[in-house]
Parts: sequence; C-alpha cells; structure tokens
Amino acid sequence: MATSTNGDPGFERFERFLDEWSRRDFLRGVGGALAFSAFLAGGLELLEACGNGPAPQSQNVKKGGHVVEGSLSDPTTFNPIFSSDTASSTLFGMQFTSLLDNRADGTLIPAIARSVPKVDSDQLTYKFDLRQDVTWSDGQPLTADDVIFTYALVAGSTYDYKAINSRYWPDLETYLASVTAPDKYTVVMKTKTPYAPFLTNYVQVLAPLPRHVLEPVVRQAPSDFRKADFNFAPTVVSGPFQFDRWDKSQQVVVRANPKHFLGRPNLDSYVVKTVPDGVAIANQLKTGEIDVGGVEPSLWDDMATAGNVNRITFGQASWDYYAVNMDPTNAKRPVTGKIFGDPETGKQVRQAMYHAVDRAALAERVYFKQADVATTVEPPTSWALTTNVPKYTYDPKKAADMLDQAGWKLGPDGVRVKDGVRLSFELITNVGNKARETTIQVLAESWRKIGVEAQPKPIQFTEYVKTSTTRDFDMVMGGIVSGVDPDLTQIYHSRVIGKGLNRMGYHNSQLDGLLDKAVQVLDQGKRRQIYAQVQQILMEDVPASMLVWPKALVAVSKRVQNFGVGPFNRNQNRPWLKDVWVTDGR
Amino acid sequence: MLWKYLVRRVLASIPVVVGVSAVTFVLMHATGGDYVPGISDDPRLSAATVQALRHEYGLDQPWPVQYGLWLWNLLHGDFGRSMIDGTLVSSHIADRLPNTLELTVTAILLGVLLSIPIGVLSARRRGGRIDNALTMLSTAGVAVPEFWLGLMLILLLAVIPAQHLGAPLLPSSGATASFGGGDPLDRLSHLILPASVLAFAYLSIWSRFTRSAMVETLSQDYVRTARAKGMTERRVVYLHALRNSVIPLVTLVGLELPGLVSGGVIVEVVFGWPGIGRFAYERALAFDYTTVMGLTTFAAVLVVGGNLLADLMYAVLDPRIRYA
Repeated sequence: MATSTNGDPGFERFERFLDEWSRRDFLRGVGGALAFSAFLAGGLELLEACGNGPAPQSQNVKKGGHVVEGSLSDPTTFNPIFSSDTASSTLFGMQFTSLLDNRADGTLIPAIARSVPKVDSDQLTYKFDLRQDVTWSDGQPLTADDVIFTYALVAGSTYDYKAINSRYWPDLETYLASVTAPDKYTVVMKTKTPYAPFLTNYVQVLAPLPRHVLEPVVRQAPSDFRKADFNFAPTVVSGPFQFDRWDKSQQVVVRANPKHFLGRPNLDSYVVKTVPDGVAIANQLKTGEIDVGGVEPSLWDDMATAGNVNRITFGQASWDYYAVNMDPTNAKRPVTGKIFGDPETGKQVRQAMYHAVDRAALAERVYFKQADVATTVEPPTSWALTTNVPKYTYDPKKAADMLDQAGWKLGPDGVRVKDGVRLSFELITNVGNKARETTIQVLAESWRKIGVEAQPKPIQFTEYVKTSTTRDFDMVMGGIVSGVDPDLTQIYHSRVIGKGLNRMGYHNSQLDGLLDKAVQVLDQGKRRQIYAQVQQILMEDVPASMLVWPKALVAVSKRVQNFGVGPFNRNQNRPWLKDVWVTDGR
Repeated sequence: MLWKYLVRRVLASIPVVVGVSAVTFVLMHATGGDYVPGISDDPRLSAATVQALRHEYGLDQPWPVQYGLWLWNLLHGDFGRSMIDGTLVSSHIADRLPNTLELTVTAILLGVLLSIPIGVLSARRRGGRIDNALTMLSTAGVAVPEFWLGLMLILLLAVIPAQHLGAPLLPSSGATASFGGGDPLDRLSHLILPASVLAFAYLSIWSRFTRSAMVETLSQDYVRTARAKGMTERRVVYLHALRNSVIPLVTLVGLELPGLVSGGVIVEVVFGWPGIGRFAYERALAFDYTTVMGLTTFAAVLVVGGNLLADLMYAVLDPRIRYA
C-alpha cells in the first residue's frame, strides 16, 4: 500500500480501515497491558502510588444509568477458557470474577480468594482460601467445586481436555500437577515444577465457571463445548454484570448483577459498542454516542478540543521493534543470516545499525509524540526493568565507523560490500498499519546514510505472521503486546526458534539458561536480578532492536466517574468497575 | 416445459456455485494467509497452543483435503463455522442480513422514488436553470465518494452540533441507540444518514437515465399525437411518456439486485451499520476463511438465483420470450 501517495481518497479511506484492523490485532492479547507514563520517567514508587486509579468517592455517587464503551472489534466468546482477544476479555471479565484480580501496576489482589496465596516451602503448592459469601447470579453458592470443574476443562483427567481445546491446555498440561479441594471453600493447586508466572498468567485469567450449569453440556460432547450457547449468552455469572443481549456487529449489553458478592454495581448497565475505526471512535466520543474509547495517536491532540471528554494516557506493556534473520544456517535466507549472524562481525553490524536510527525523531513524528524511546527489551511497565544496559544513542558517525571496522567498506554504488556481498536486504512489515509502514521507510532512509540498503516492503498481515514459523525474511518490523510477567522465553529462547517469536534464529545458551532459571525462581528480588542480566545480554547482542514504547491513549466522558483504568486493569481486570457511576444518572 | 427448463437451469448453476467457492478458496490461500487465532504476536501464546488450534481448524491438512471437507459439509447443508468464534456461518448471516436488506431496500426505494421526478423535471426543463442545477447535483453524486460524503454528513449533522448544541442532530453510527429498546423512530433516525448516502449514489445515476429516456420519449411521434389530440401536458407526460421512459430504469434497478446483499459495504463501515458487507470485509481481512467461503457461496447462490428469476420475469413481461 506504499502507493497511497497517488492521492486517491478512496484508497486512503480504505487504508484507514485496514489500519484499524491491524491496530485491532495489535491490541489483541489477554492483558492488553498498560502502564503509567510517569513510570517511564523511572519512578516505580510513583507507579505504585498512583496505580490504583482514583479512590471511590462515596459522597454524591449516583446510582443507575449506563456507560457505552467503544471497541474496534466484536467479541468472539464470553468464556474465559477460550477468549483470546481484547473485546472478549473485557466482556468476560465483567461477567466472571476470578480468584485473583490485578491492580493497575499488575500486582495481584484478592477477589474470590480471600488473599493472594504465598507458595508453600516446596515451591509448588498454592492454597486458596475462598470467600464464603460468593454466589452465582442464580443464587447457587460459588464453591471450590466450580474452581476444580473449570481447571478440569483445561487440563487433568476428568474430561477430554484436548477435545475441549482451551488455549491454555498445552501450558497447564506442562505446569499444573493438580487442583484439589480439601473442603468446600479451600482450593489447593500444585505445579509440576516451580513456575513463577503461574498465578499471573493462569489463575488470574481462568475465572471459575458454574459447574451446575455447564457440567451436563461438557459431558454431552467435549469437542462442542467451544460452540456451547453459554459462551455467547451466559445464563449464570459471578461478576458485577450479567449478560443482557448481543446485537451482532453492533453492541453487547450487560446489566447489573444484584447478587454480586461485592454489592450491586452503581451502573444499571454497561454497553460495549463495536465501532468500525479510530475516526469513528473519535467522532462518537465527541457526539456522546460513546463514553469511553481508545484514541489513535494522530487524533489525540484533536480530542483535546472536545469539551466533553477527559484524556488519560499511560505507558503500556508493548513495544515496536525490528528483528533480523541472524541464523547463518537458515536455508531460506543464507545471505542475511551470514550478514547479521556472522560470529565475528554480525553483532557489530546489528549494533551499528541500531546506532544509526534517530528514535526520538521517530517517536515524535511517526507516533505523534505518543511514544517513548525504548531503552531495553522489557516493556516500560515491567517490574524487572533496568536502566543498567548498553545504550544506543543516535550516532550515525559511530555507526559508520563500526561498519568500517567490521570490514564492510563503502562500494562504488554507495552500498557497503564485504567479500563480494552487498549490505542489502528486505525490510518487511504488515500492510495497513500506518505507523509501521512509515517506520520502515524512516529506517531505510536512516541506513541509506551509512551505506546500508534496506528495501521496505509492506506485506499482508497473515503473511507477516507466518514469518515466525517459516523464517523467510531478512528483517521484520512489528509490535508485541506483553503482559505483567517479565518472562521473555517466547521471544528469545532457542527452544522456540521457528515456533514462538524467536524468528531471528537467536541462539545463546547462556541466555537460555537464565530464562529457564528466571521462571523457576519464585522470589521477585532474585528474579529481578536474573532479568537484569537477561536485559544486559539482549541489549548487547541486539537480535531484536527495540524502537519505541507506544503509550495507551484513552478518552473518557466527563459524565463518567471513577473510571480507574490503568496499565494492567484495563480489560479483563477491572476491580474498579462496580464503583463507576455517571453524573447525570442516565 | 417450464419446469424442465427450471431443473436444467438449477443443475447448470451447481458448477457455478462450486466454481465460485473453489476460486475463493484458492484465492484465500494464495494470499499466503493463514488464520492463527488470537494474537500471534502474544509472547504468552505457546507454540503448542497454536499447533492445537491449527489442528482443530484443520489448517494442518493439505489444501485439497481442507476444501474437500468443506464441500462435503456444504453438501449436507452445513455452511461451516467461523474459525474466529465457532459460530455457524449461517447464523452469522441470519443475524446481519436483515440489517443490510433494511439499508439497501430503503436506499433503492429512495433512489427510485426521487430519481423519477428529478429525471422528468430535468427533461421537461431541458437546458433550463433547474435542469442545470440537477445535472450538477447528479454529477457531484457520481463524483463524490460515499465514504467522504458520509464522513462530512457525520461531521455536519452529528459531531459539530454535538459540540455546539450539546446533542447530535442525527446519530452517527449503529442501527439503534445503545438503549433504543426497539423504538422504530430511533431505528429510523439511525437509518437516515446511511440510507441517504447510499440513495444519493443510486439517484445520481438513475435520474440521468430517466432524464435522457424522457427527453427521447418526449420527441416521439405518439407524444406529439397525444399533444395534438389536445391532451393536457400532465397526462401526456405522466400517462404516456413516463411508462416508456422508466424501462431502462427497471433494467438498472434490476442490475442492483445482487447489491441488495453486498451493495453497502463502504456505507456500512462508515456508519457502523451492523450489516453483512462490513462483516464479510472484516472477516476476509482476519482470514476467517470458513466464514468468507460461506459468505461468498451464499452470495453466489443469490446471484445465480437472481439471474434465474430475472430470466423468468422477462418471459412473464414479454410474451415473445418462451423457455423450453
């Protein structure tokens, strides 16, 4: 779509739509995780201090009314064990409460469990003490039975969990040893090996489902469970809101659950409305047709002119970056594999190119100032973030010198050559995401100045996705949405070359060891030390180069109060939701 | 015999429908696409999960097997299920088709009802100020893209009034207010903008055709005869000339019939109308290929059926045509 300069307005409109679509993909992911921009300035304490959103104001709170939130896509399911997109997570989170919930900074807090369990001395066992006042919306008590039932759907020997096929089964099959209930309100979970992200990645997400409703459905045909009516119109819920109706392609309406264990929410109902694109979100925030919505960076300044909304911005657990094929044994792209993966000079080439990119300018011009220069491989929200890593300031002179030293000399056509190989390669990203399409042009231009030829080539998103498995690329630019836990195994471990996101073919056995160790140590202080080492190695080796950390941009109508959204309590986790109220009571 | 003809036509349309589905299938795969559920860039989605999901959707099978299975299910009346949400494609269609029909039928009716008087008026005042103004209007209607017109109307009738008067004059998106509660007036207020934009596009073309047909008819001998008989101009135009002038319009409107289902994609997107065109477009981009296959096959059946219906209508309308 690089031909958009033809000025055809039809095309641009079409592109804007595509852009939205890929933005939606970008936003997918269980957490859709976010952090306060204050944190970007380096203050962990500051993050914790403001991490819980505004405290509920008990005076003048009005009961009743509704809030309409704009979403770029229709949800696909309301069942936590199947959900994998933001719209679905948001809606199941309103309807099903988990054992644990998240604070804005990702710290776990109790929900149905009375407290966040500490792991036993065996480093494997977690004991959950459940509240006894929790009931399903039909009046049945929510007990340990329901928890056991829910986990049995994902792993274990009770049901044919592979036929049910929750997205979590391969993980829980690997990590979860057992879930048992010593009594009606106690659940004991045991992992197979010590696994640090267990509570955050699984327990927090897998909200209990009502056994008394769903057991007959599962027994009948496990493989049909994904299609069960319940997943699209839950009849019995535990969360602050219960399903009311779903007007396809238009909106989902949930209404207050009077039986919610923390009390009926202030609002009568909550609507998640499907809005086709970012322009429509901005327009409808202004018309008042929606009260809450995520705003595109290019429209953020414009939103300031709307008198009826407040703008909230914070960092999020995501980054935009480029990654190189650095595997000389990659038969699909042996030339670049050798350029970037040469044991002698590959690292120098990667570092030199990183130095040649003016990332501050990128953040300002391509991301409309709504992004920060990334300084390490962890997202800005990570508790394991360290600043003690190699820095890559913008320095084209240094970059050129490094390439000279590595033996890459300027050729007659202005492109560097070594042993008859030109320093030239293809740079891909997915079509339709304007920021990314512009970024690859900027990168190519930056590198042209130091004698490196990158040919920008936007490709279809689905094809772009396949680079992870096929590894048929030279350099890829893209974005990643991460979660609360700082684990980076799926991106850099050599085990996931050609399977996870290690499409670079990066193989560093020291790093593999650290990544494996880091998830088996349960003490956060010790983990932080290991991840500091991980970040030092990765910022030294730069198999993938972090460009910027885009910020989360949310606009909320002034009539909506206590909308306590933050980095990690934005989608599924909204412990603040029941306190939200509207000033006009409508 | 008519029924023999019918049977033959229906049998002949089967290869067409299968062909359409085969081409769609090949095209979807030729893009190099592949549906991987959820976010593929989610570092927490393990490789085993992706494998398991690919297996569940049959994506690990060779193409011919995938297509064969799909065809086999279709033979059993099963359009398949969406890869993204597991819902029956037929129920996705049933959820959205009425909305699309509501929009397109309203737009076509508006277009027809307005383009006839506009065309007649232009023809009778040929070269006059009114004719020139209407010509400019319809030229604008052809030239201005629907999305631009839509966005401008949203700005003028919804965003700006909301910022200055406190409330939009007309809603900018969706088919009902979030709390419409089935109120027909509310539904109507949501229909006005998208239907007008779509109707404007139809109207611009149709009114020109009506105009030129009318101009031609008005110069016919029988019109002169009618006038010479002392018939009032009104009767001449509306009783005698008009009937002959709308024949090209009938053909044009007939051509839009397949568009009843797909016609409003752009308008549906701009106005967030919960119709089938927008849905098909979104799912095509998301590589929900079972849904796209189901939707295109469904559309193919409609088009083939529509053509058959049109051919039969000719026979009904024109006694010189006989099918055997």
